Amino acid sequence: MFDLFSRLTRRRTSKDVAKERLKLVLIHDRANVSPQFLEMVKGEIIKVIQHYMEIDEDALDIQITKTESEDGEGIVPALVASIPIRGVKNSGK
Amino acid sequence: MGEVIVITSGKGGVGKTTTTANLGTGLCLLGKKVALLDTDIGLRNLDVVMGLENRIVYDLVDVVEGVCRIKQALIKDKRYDGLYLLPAAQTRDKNSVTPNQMLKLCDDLREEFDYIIVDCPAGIEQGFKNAIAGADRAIVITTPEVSAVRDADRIIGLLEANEIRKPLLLINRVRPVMVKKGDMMSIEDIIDILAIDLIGVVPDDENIIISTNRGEPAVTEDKSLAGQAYRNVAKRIMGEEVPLIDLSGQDGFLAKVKKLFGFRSA
Amino acid sequence: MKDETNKITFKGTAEGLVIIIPEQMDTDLVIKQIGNKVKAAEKFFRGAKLKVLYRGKELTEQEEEKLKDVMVKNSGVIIESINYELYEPPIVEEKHTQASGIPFRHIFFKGLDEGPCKFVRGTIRSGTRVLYEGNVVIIGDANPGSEIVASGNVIVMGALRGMVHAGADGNRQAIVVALKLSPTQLRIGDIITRCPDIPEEIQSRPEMATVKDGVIYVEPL
Repeated sequence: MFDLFSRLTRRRTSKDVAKERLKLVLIHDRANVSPQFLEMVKGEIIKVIQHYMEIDEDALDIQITKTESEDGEGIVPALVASIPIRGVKNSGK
Repeated sequence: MGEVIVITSGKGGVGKTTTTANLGTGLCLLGKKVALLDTDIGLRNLDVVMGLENRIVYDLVDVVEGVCRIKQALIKDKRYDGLYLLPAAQTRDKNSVTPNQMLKLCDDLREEFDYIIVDCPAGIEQGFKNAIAGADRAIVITTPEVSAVRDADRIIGLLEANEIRKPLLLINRVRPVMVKKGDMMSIEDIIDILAIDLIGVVPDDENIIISTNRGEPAVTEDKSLAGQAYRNVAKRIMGEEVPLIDLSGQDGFLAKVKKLFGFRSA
Repeated sequence: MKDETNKITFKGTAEGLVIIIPEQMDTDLVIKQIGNKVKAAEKFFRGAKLKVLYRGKELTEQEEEKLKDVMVKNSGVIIESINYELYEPPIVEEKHTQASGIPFRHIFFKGLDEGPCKFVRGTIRSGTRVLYEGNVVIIGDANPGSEIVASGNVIVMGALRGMVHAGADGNRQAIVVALKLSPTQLRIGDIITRCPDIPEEIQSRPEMATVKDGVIYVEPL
């Protein structure tokens, strides 16, 4: 949450733009999927989760990275999502 | 048995050749026997950066083709004992050498030298494949620019695919004033994106241009900040733990130091 | 017998017979093998007077005597003396036999005064090599990183800043002339020179490089 706070208060500098653009490009480079594809996945996930909880859509971070496979036989791509939760809806209980 | 370290980047113009010259000289100053290997066949430059261009008789292609022996092609540095250069051929192209030939060459050099520093050409084609063929370790050079970082990411992937595990990152041409203003990606930003270990940070330094003009690596100059950074990287290659230098000194932002040291916890 | 560590070599020289004995070889085997060797060439050795020198493994006096006896008994040779010779292999000087792309020859290119000549118009840029069996004339500059290799003379009507090799087949009679002569490296025949590390005052007049007494001299035209 602190990160979000600082992002709102600080002027977005050119290096932030650079970093963000780079991150997007690299996701594509690393997994060979387009940023649009990820945006679509992101939208669908938000839709599903919103049925059950209140989430911080702007701080939602989803990316394709590499991770050690469970059988330890090398590196496999993985979809990693970080979704800050604001609150849980009653219907979820 | 010596160690073969390839200096690579993907993108051109980020300082591979300068780094090769400075790290090689730096390791030599620390008492090691070092061979510099220029694999940029057709676009050789390491010889000029080292100021040895007028001593070339044989080159790397002559060695792999058996025209001469390795010893005949190695050029002894004019200033430092124990520092040698194997120049690239200028009138040939990258396809004159195969990865297997490079592997053999590196293995032969390993017998004689403590460190073999390989200057890799830009790109990911034949020249890159040749340069990494015999390498034990890799140092990936990048600058704080989107294009360079993106290419570094691609190179790291290719190195890992070629079984060169744990490449190390050297960030070149950092300008602390711009980082402070938020107009240049910081060390943390780059590490955050590339997710590999850092071996050093070299500030943007006019001395590099001056020393390259003269054909004398900046690492030998006490006053040069980039030279000091390269001396530290050389020590880290040998396993010594050296903190990052205080780049803020030149701009007077002391707070910056803290930020630089904190990168590992990030 | 192919194993070099177990092979005795005979060599005839002006001083006599030289026997090369491998350092690691067992003495009894040495004597036995030499005995067999001289026996095989009995006709050659019989009655000949020989001084024997041997290299490699050093023998004791008794062993020397034993060796002498075996040789005499097996071939009827007369041995005047037998001595150990400390031998260091001569240091072979590294020769540049093909530094520039034209191999050195015993018979040089004959057309230095009058013969085939290649004219090149334009700048010779880095990475370009002009290779010619004959004389070469460049009408333009030769930049650093370029190479001009000719078995004859090289004339550059411009600035010569690259590598140049005249008389590349080993001929020291060849010459190099340029309107501005400041090559990274200058080779004539089998001799290689380079500019001094501290740059001299740059000459802007035409100069000629020739070989005198095995040294390359550069003089104004």
